[in-house]
Amino acid sequence: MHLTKGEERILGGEEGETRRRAMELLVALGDISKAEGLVPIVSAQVAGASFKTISEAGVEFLEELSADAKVTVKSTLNPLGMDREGWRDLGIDEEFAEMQMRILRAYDKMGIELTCTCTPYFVGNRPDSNEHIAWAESSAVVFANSVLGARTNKEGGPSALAAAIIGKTPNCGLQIEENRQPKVEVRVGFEPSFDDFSILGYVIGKSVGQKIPLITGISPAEDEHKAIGAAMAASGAVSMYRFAKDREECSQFDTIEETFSVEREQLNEAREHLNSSDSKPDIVTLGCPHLSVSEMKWIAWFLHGRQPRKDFQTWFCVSRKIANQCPNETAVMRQFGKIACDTCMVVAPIEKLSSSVATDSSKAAVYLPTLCNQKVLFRSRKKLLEMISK
Amino acid sequence: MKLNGMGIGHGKSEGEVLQVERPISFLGGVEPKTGAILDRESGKLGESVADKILAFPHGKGSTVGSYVIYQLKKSGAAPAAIVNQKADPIIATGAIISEIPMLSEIPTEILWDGDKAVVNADDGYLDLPDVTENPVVTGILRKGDKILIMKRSNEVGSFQGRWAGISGGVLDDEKPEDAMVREIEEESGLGRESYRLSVTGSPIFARRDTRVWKVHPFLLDIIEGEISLDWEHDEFQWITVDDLGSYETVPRLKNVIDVLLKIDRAEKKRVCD
Repeated sequence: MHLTKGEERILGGEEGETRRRAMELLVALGDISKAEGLVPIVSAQVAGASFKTISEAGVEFLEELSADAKVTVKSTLNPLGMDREGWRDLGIDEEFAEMQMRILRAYDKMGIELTCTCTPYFVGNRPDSNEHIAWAESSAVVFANSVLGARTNKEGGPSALAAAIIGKTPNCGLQIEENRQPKVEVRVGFEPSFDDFSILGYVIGKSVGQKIPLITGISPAEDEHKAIGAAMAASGAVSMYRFAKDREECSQFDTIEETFSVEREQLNEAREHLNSSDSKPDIVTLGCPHLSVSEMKWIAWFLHGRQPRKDFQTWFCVSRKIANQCPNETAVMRQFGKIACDTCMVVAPIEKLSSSVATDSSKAAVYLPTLCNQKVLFRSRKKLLEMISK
Repeated sequence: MKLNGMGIGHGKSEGEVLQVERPISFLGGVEPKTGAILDRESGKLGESVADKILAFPHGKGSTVGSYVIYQLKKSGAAPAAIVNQKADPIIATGAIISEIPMLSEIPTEILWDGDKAVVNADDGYLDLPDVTENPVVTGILRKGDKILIMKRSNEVGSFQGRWAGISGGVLDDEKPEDAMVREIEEESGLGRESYRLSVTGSPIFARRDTRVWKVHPFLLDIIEGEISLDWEHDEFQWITVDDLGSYETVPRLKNVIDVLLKIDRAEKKRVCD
């Protein structure tokens, strides 16, 4: 990989050991991907924030690094393993909370904004089209590439952090225009409703793997993009998709090598596949990825005037910033459950609290059985809200 | 023998090889405090990666695997070095944050458990001091859709009675392509004007005891001429690739042919495009 004089200097350790290590990581990852050089980025989204996922080793790594590491571009943080204020209310134990707070302090010391969300694009980290960024968090990566038109590969926690420290990332993969063309067309043969988008993404991700799909016959709203993208990244390894509402829009893409279609029947089969329980869940969860303002409004509108059923817990997972923007909505939602800020059903230690969870997210349904040892009730958002209210 | 690869991170390590044939997920696949392998499909369940030259094809699974490698290092249970066929970001990240020397682009299947090995990530090579390298060529002659295989005689030094392509050792100071021309002339009687070179591929490695054969493969298309055997072979056959399974061949012959035909198809496609 070609390095500038300034980059060589950093790699030679002239700007300190921490920056040398960050540069060494970027150079190695660039070499592996045959990148020609590094490219400046406008922002980073750093993953590896929950104590549950990174454990003691991660805490040690971050504390060591935070002694002198500072980020040099706008950097936001993925969800934690708990609500940093209301963790007791969620049932998190003291030991976990202490380790979690050490992680949070380390990131704070490095200058990372403690947004604690998988939806950085709702809380001020919203790059423009064609801007280079280095984001971890697969659902945010797919949103940035596909909806915002910004450019990022799917970074790991340490590589996003190294990019944030140096302010650059290897110029390869989805950073480069010619690698952003769809190769496979997926024709959606029906009009999907809001509740279909997540499971549609699951079905498409399974079929296309790592390829960039062109999804035709859909015209998603932003929340629907959030749902379909997160699901594709979880069931496959999709980091980007394109979409077209009709044949005319479709004709601008001339790189398609294969085509297949998705019918409603496949969605129903996938729903059954993801559903591993039909008995009463311990916790009903919403907000994977974290809820948007418009979703908060819809949920509050639906619940308004209904009565809570108190026989199980409910978590509404949302970033602290969005929750603060919705005081009226959270007031309604609190009658029915907990506003779980900074965290979610997958990265919180939910396995210590519950053995079955209800969700409307196919991303959550993919990870809950493996990472959290949970049985999953997979239901539509409306069904979940009817479950918790009357 | 010395093998060149891509150095990742920095540093130099020596140790004994532990080779895992399948991709490894460090998260869930290796115990972070002791280095014990937990993956039942690895074939090395319960063995420890600590202080080993750990060779495996590539990583898989969660990106949290990078932190598991770091935790191994902190616990004193990390491998002395990591050797991969193909580096992926999870393993490379783990190796760098843990300052473990790493090499990729190495045919890990020729590293055997217990081999003494030196890994140098700075200069990008692996040294196996107790293993010797024998460079050889294997040529596959093709006529239409058939390929030539020849049965090795009882007078040759190895693999008597087995079916092979045209093959032989590369002499000191000889280039593999010159060795190929020489061997074709000796074993089939065909001069350079009788065939054209269609495809060459990267070397393929085969190991037996402490010897590694570095096979330079060639695919050659016959233009004209008849085969005349020398003392090294008793008979020859023109067969389709599908029939290869019914012959007892030298090791890796199928592998060599598959690699060459795959490159051949890819090159033809590119020309047509």
